[in-house]
Amino acid sequence: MYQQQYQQPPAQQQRQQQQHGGGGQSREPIDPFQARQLYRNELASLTFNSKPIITSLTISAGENTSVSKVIVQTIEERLRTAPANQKLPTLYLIDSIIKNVGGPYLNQFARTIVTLFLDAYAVVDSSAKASFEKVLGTWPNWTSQLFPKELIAKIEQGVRSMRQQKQGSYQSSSSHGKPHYSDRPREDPYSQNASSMYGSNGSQNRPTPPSAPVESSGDNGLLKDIQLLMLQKQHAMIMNPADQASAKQVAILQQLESLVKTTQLTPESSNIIRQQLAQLWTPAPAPPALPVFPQGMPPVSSPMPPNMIPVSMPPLQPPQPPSMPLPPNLPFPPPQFPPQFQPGSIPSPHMMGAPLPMSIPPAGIPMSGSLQMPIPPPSMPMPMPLPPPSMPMPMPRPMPMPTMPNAPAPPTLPAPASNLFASLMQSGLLGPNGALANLNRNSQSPMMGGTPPPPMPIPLPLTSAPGPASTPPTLDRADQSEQDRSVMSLGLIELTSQDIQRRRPAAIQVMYGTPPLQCNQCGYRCPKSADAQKKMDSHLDWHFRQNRRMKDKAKKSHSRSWLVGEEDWIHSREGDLSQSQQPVFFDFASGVNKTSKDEQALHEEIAAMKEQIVSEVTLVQALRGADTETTTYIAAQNIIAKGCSICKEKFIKVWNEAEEEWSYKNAVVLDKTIYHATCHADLVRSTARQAAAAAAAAAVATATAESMSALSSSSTLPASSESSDATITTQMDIKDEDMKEDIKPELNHLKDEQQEQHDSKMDHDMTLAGAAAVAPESDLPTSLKRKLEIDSEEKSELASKKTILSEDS
Amino acid sequence: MTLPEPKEWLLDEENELRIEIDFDTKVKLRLVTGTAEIFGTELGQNVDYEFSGRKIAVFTWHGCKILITGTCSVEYIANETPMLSYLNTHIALEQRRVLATQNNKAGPRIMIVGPNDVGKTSLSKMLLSYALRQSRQPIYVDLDCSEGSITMPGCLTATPLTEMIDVEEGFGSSATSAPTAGSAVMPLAYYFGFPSPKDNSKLYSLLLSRLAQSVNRRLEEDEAARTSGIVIDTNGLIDATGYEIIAQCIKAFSVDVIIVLGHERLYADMTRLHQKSGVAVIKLAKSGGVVERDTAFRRQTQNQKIREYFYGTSKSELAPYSTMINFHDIEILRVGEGSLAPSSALPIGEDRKVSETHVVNVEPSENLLHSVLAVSNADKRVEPDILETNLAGFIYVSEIHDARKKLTVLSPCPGRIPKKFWWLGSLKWAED
Repeated sequence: MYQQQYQQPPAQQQRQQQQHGGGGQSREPIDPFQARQLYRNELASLTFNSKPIITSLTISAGENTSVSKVIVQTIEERLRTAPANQKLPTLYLIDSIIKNVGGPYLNQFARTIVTLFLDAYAVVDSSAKASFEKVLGTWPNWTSQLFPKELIAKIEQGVRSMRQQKQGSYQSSSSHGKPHYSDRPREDPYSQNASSMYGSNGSQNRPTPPSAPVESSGDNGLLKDIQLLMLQKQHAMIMNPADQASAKQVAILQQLESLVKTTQLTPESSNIIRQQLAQLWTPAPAPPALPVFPQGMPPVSSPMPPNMIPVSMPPLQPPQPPSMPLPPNLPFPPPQFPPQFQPGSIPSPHMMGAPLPMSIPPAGIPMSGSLQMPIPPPSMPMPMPLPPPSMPMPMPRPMPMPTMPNAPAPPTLPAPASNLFASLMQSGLLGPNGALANLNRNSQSPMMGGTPPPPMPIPLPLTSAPGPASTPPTLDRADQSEQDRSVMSLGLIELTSQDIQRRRPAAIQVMYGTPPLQCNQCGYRCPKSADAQKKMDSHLDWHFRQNRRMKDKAKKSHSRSWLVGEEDWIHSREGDLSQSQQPVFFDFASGVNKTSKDEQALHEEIAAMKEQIVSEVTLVQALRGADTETTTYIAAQNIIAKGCSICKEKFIKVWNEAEEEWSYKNAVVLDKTIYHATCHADLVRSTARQAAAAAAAAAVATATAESMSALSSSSTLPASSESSDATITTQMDIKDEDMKEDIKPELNHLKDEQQEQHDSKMDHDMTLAGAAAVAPESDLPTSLKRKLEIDSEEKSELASKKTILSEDS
Repeated sequence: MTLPEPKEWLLDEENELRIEIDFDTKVKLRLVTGTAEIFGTELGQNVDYEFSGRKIAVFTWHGCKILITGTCSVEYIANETPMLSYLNTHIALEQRRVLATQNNKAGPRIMIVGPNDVGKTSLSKMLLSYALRQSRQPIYVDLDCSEGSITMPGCLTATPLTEMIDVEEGFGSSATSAPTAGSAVMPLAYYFGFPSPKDNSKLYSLLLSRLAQSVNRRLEEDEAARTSGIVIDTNGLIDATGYEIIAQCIKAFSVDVIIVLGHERLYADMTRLHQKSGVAVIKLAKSGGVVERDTAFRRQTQNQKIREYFYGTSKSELAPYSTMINFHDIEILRVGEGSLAPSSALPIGEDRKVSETHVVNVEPSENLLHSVLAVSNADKRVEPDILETNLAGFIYVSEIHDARKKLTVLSPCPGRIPKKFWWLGSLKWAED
């Protein structure tokens, strides 16, 4: 039931950890405030489960460990304030950062993860809850320790009690053993390239069929390289349909992709392919190499290839020519991208392909790694804005291409597809007709048809790169320059009362561009530009979301939220406003509902469980368990075919479109026995009921004891936390008086849960206090302040809860 | 009851279908063939648009066929429109935006002035719509405190726009969680609380400066908005006070394009006073479709606006929440001492300037019933800062329990009301 497909094999993970170790280097300090703004803008685009965005954000986080505090705060804030349906992607981001970057982030998140996780968990819908649990299930047994065991246990406990609370008021909060999701075997041999949890909506990341043997993670990395490159080229094609070169390249890449998938490559052959691929990357106004990052980037889980980060242009524009032409005989090798090169600050090409309505921060800074753009590290060489081969400039602009008479003559940068083709044929990867040649370990030759010399360090002296490096390239709207040009082609209209009366038939054409690309659901018309189709797609996505929400309207009432404060208005951008317009203080609403769970909710939960579909692969794996040898696939299939072990009914097999695999509805495997999830839940419940009375009493006793000890140990805390504690107690008192015997068990739940929340709050407060003493970071006062704000908010929430209760009585 | 037969309208090139719909009727409009736009927003073909209590003009550049279901109080086709000059104005502005983008400068800052009922708001909408259609992200500044296009009457607002303006809902609804066709906009609103700037010109100019300051700060950071520029819709005041406000506004927002709508003398004055290098003053004719809105219509529009704030439109309904609040948990404030007498009523030589921005407490009483109060974002009562603090939203007083020292209010969303300082203005609303 809880598959963990997205995990990377430990080997790869470790390598990435090492890479990260190599990448950790001193950087110039970054202004925390600016960092927060930038990161927040990026984060605002994370409104749906998108692997590229998560990857990009993870990279940003990895590159900016010096402001990890700010980043963590921003993410926490996002998780707290995002609408319930957008919390999951943020959790995935946290998951991605702690697993791939780790380091300071582990400590930072550890402070708040318990409340953060549980608060979010409490408000998300049941399918998201399952995903939350899935993520949580991967934490305890991760290759490295992510969070202290106690913290994870606390979260698990909270999750458990919330689940039980939901399942019915008659049930006690006690439960035996660990939750089953953490017991499950985690190994999944297909995890590398099976569709990952993040961003499963990206059609480019189609899961490799399980039958495709993927031998080594190296090949896998190569595969991803190819796919990434393909994406970039496809994007170029979309931007410019007339771009034959890209079209051809895509075709070749597709062949390559299937070749790599189906063939075992020797390291040499993959290297050759890599080198060929490297030439195809469209250069960007970014440093071709960062010497300090030999292995490069902080590792990210896929789809970023572990050892190759694509160079691409900022999403919406061809690079600006450098404002200062290069000296003609600068010994500047053309940016030629060896596989290992890692520019620090380059947006992933996924950003370009992904349908993100608001993904580009209007501030004119590329998305990923943008935090460091304003202050380039000293080692950063001159950005080299060359025209991408596949993207003709929409407007004729002067191109101050550096001429390089003295430079060695490596292959020309805009490597035509035929070059790749030829080289591949020469190296035996492709047959004479472009068909895939039979490839095996001895078909390799080092011959590369006079192509790339080894990667070379950039000898550019730092002093020669002051201008463009210090002014980040502005993200202008070059995508619209077609449109801009048509506007300008009308001739400059003077703003005089006479000139604006003249008839200009072409003016209407500007508004009703040809050929029209128009939405059929509203009048929206895409401005004539290179990426009109992409825009239209995102517009249609938006319609889709709106329509879906319209359908939900009956279920859920909407209301207008309060307006934001002046400072927030000034610093926020529409993207994040329209996505998460609920400021923190409204989360209170969901808090109120939480306590009034009723039978209806239980039924919904059961219905949701029934709807839950579980991948066939996962079930088979679960049934086979550790001893893969003894239980065959067929045997496992037979067990599934027999049906639920409790009710004996057969499982319903369905095709899961999203995951592209066969799945079973409402199935769960525990201890190698297969059940309906609902049947099993019933079983557990009836067992638990017997122990309820005793456990309830025990829970209350423990709670009180814990509360006492927590209070006594928190003498260093600000008064607010004590007073909020007092509020909790008062509230419980009121409840005690009001409630009748028959709902006592539920009350115990409530107490339990409050106690947990309270405990964990104490916990993170104390951690915070401890950290405050140790860490001398400059932004700490802000973080403390923020923390106190949250505390007081919680306090007042509780207070108003109390008010409501007293009014009711 | 059967549905009325749809009525078919054939429009030639550059014709305009003008319809007026009463508040209590609903009319469906559908574009069958051709292209058409309402206040700059293009209509989709074969999509039903529903209107109530609106006066709208459907314009076509290419000719079109339109179906109308329902009864309109007025409906006719006009073939003389100033649309060509409006479009040219837009193109000229767009060219400035292109240049601004290329040179990394600020886009045009446009102010639309003119007397009441010449179509200033419609022209703003049109220019904004056109800009949005070309993927600009302009900021709409509404200084017309009598109307309240975005939030409520009595406010000065600035609203960044990124998505197209919805033809049915106007500028879109501020910050709803409801699915709307338009975008959920997030305005910045300051509370003035009077229908005309004349009622308290000192407060008005204070708020105007503050609004301009915030907008300019945002423009510094928001590149897309900076190059797209701003469109300022003014109130229809064109007397001496009006001129003062216009001059202040030009300075505060660094206005570089002044559009004078439908008033020759004003155009002459503006040219004389403000035309200098860098500031362009142009005049545009008012559209024949603009009708004078009588007090009753304005009042009804206001009521509709308030109703929409709490309950939304029929297309996207909202659920407001009723809460009971203790008198002592809130502070109700108003500006000015007692009821302001007109300046002419003051003794000669008497200066009222001090009391104009004086904040006074209002004791909750029956008088508050049916008032719409503005919730300030302020946390502390510090004068004069509290005057310039922006708004969190509005509440409506539906009941006063004098004996229990409580009042029942309608709040736009669940949960407690975030701030304790509430402004009392002149806005009342009788909920039907």
